[in-house]
Amino acid sequence: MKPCGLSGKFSQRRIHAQVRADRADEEGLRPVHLTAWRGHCLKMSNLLDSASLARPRHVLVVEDDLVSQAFLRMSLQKHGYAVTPVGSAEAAQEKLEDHGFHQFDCVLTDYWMAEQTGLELIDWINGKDANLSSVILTAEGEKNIVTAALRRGVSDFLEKPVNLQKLFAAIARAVEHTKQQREMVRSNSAVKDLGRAQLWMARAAQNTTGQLVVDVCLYPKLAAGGDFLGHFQTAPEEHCCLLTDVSGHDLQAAYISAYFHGIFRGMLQRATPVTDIFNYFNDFLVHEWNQPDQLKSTRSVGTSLAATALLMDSRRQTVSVLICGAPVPVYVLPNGRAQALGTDGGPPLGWFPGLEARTITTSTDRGGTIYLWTDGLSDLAEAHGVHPLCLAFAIQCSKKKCAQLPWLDEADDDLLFAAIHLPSNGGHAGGLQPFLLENYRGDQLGEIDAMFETWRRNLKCAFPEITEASEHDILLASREAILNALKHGCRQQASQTVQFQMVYHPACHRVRVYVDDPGNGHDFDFYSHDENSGRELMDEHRGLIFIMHLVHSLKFERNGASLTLDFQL
Amino acid sequence: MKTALDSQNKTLTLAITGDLISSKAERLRPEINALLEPPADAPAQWTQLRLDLTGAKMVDSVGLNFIVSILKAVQKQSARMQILYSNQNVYRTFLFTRLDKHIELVKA
Repeated sequence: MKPCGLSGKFSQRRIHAQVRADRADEEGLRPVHLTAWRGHCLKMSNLLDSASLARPRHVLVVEDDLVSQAFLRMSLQKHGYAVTPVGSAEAAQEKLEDHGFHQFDCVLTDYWMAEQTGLELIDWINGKDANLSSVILTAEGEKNIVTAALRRGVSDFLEKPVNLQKLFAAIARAVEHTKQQREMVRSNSAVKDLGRAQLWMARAAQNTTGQLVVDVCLYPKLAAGGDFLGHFQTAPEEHCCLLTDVSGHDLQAAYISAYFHGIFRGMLQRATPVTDIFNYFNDFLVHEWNQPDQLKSTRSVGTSLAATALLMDSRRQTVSVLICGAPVPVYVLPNGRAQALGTDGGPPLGWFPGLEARTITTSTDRGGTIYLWTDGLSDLAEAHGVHPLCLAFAIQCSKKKCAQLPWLDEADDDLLFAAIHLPSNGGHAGGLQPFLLENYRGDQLGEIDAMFETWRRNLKCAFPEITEASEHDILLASREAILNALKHGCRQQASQTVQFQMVYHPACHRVRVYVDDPGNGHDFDFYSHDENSGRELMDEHRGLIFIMHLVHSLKFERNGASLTLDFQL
Repeated sequence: MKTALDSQNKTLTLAITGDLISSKAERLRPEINALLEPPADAPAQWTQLRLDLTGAKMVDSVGLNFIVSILKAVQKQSARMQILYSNQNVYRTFLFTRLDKHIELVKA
């Protein structure tokens, strides 16, 4: 979920306030909650900082003039630094290699030395450890050297004769810079570790448990994010899938998402109804996490969590769905026909007290596949004018070719989607995959060109290498079918609706189009009509003639009110 | 749509820009009807109508009905009709609707 002005950073004041609050927690003044846990983490981080501060900061002084070297060494030592003095760039390199770069917090080097200049030494250091800061000493007025030094990333420069106050200030800045750089590396590494853990957990959800197969695609915007999917067995014939999407895509979002997954799984294992768990977490977000005093220094607005829970019962062959703020999942029957699983369940958790969403149960006795995704996928799909399922399909196709869809680079949110393949009597469904689901009102005839462009975009996205002839036939037959359905099936009434679906049949490499209108169909002999209309240039039902000649196969149901059009790709 | 009259060959050319589909056919219909209306007090200036569809990649059923209505108006004036096309899918459409039996199709 996109952040709404979240800073996601903890200020120092906030950290101290939190530590104080945590002390109160430890003294039993209030139960330890998520906020407290966060404080413990911060406290631990402070302790680690203190430990590293306990070691005196270590400066490597490189100066071939022994008098200057001694002066610098003694001055810095008096100021609390540990100092290792050496007389040449080569000696400095040896020290750094022998002791390790991480043992030093700053390098102070003269520019003019016998064998190598100070700049050459700094170049060498930057090549080995760019996080170690350096300060260079030059003679007065050597502007060219100063300019070159600064361009090569030197933290600071000092002119001889050295002013002690300037020396201490420059060394303090360089030491601090080294510390910050190293912390950043550690943080980045920690974030990447977290991202790896998330991917590992997503892959863990992507397994075959009993007869259930789950495919997951996760593309966090940063190394770690707030989109998450958990899949676990709750009873011998019961499975649960939980999809979550926390506002923001930072560490805090990842943390909240993981925290909810832990709570959800624990409470569910103890037979707590899903609505109660969602209610509990909504209360937590609204009444604790998003309280104004908590928000002041960490976030400008509260955290929200969009979630979808699916409870699949293999024995009863049902799926129960609870949705809060997440896109409505789609249930696809083995023949590729799709239906929304439930309705928009209201706002995400964390916005308002009380839960509006209710669990909806659907029969899944024919097997099939359930598709669910987070709004990052919906947003990116909308930006390109395609259906989320079409984008998911294109991403999966690219993945199979070991490539990445270029559109993914444009995503400004985490992306997650999953396909849960349900067992059927004859095993899993044949994999018919819908990539466009649309409903058109009967009075939308004037928008046929816009519909047409939508079909074209989705076809191109799903099958970038589609031939011009295939594209022509699919688009033209679909146009004819929809014109017919809106004019005759719906009589152009706004209250009537046409369902339109495009599905891919991988086994036959075909595109299937379903068009269903609420009308009664037609009662003429189509095949004799085709012959007569061509011979006598009759205008009537020409659309159906078009369809018949453009498709690979055509199936009429309900006298043509339901059409199934198959096209060979 | 662009029109051009070749007085020497007595040919009226109607060039349609882009696809000939339902939405465009509805827009063009009044203009074409006016063009094809036979003059009340003078002989027609053309005896052949050429419909230039070289810019079209698609003709739908409404577009085809539109062509048929033009054909009927042309036949009423005892004139001939020719369609200029370039796209193979458009040609295929004319074949399966048997339009080639009624109108001369010329590949551009």
